[in-house]
Amino acid sequence: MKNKFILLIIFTSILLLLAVGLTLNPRDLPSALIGKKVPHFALPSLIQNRQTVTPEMFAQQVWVLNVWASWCVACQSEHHVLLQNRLPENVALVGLNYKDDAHNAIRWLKQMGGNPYHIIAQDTKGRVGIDLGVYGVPETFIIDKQGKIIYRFTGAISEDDYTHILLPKINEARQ
Amino acid sequence: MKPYLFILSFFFLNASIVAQSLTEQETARWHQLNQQFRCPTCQNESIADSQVGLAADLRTEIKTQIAEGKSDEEIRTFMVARYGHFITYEPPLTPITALLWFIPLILIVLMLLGLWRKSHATQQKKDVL
Repeated sequence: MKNKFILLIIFTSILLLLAVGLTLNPRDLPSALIGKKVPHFALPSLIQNRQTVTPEMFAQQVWVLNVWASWCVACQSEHHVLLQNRLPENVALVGLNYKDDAHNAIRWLKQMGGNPYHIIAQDTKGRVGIDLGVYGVPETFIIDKQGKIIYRFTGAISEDDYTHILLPKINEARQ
Repeated sequence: MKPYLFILSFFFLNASIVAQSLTEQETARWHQLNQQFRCPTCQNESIADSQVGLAADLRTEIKTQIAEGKSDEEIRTFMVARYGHFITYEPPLTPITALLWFIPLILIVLMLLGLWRKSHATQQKKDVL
């Protein structure tokens, strides 16, 4: 009787472990950059000619770096969310146009109903993407006033994700 | 341009890209390193096997760093700093991975203990008989 009871406990715990394992998302990787300073970059701006985009432009300010591309299908649904939800005051939305063609990118913004970004940096070769540990587009980083990455969101942001995950993190960083 | 010349030019173009000033030994190192990193996008392939754009970028990055004279360890540190320990196939011992490392050991000890107790019990039974 006692033995059977122990077996039952072992069996249920294995079942529970497997159940938890199956529901985890293996694509949801933790970023290695959380708590670290955002890597330095100096990239040309997509829209303003001859302007360079650097992280130093947003010193002493909370900013959100959104990695996107015109070839990225998931970016389309995210784009509507970004257009419809203005970020809180003094929080800049910065775009990182990842491995894209400038003409396609500008045309895509027009087709998608506008440009929600404060400024967009062109990472044509994807080298800054490597420094950020980007492994799929879209990805979104929240950077605090000290220039530290406090959060990374992978995949397209839905309306729900924006209100329940990103906005609280942004507000946390603003305080 | 004559068609065959056009096709021929592709071969030279390819050759010049692959050559990128790596010695034979360095090329061997490059191939070996590529196999040591997991592709973050298609997680069941190494960056040597993966056809994904990011894997190609990472291969190029490793090649550039070898050409710059970086050591294997430096390249490994570079990759882990950006993509986390996930990118290597050797998880280090951290509080989170401790379970992974020690559960088999604990199970073996428990099993041995159980076996020992069982044999002990049967021995006592025999003694009684």
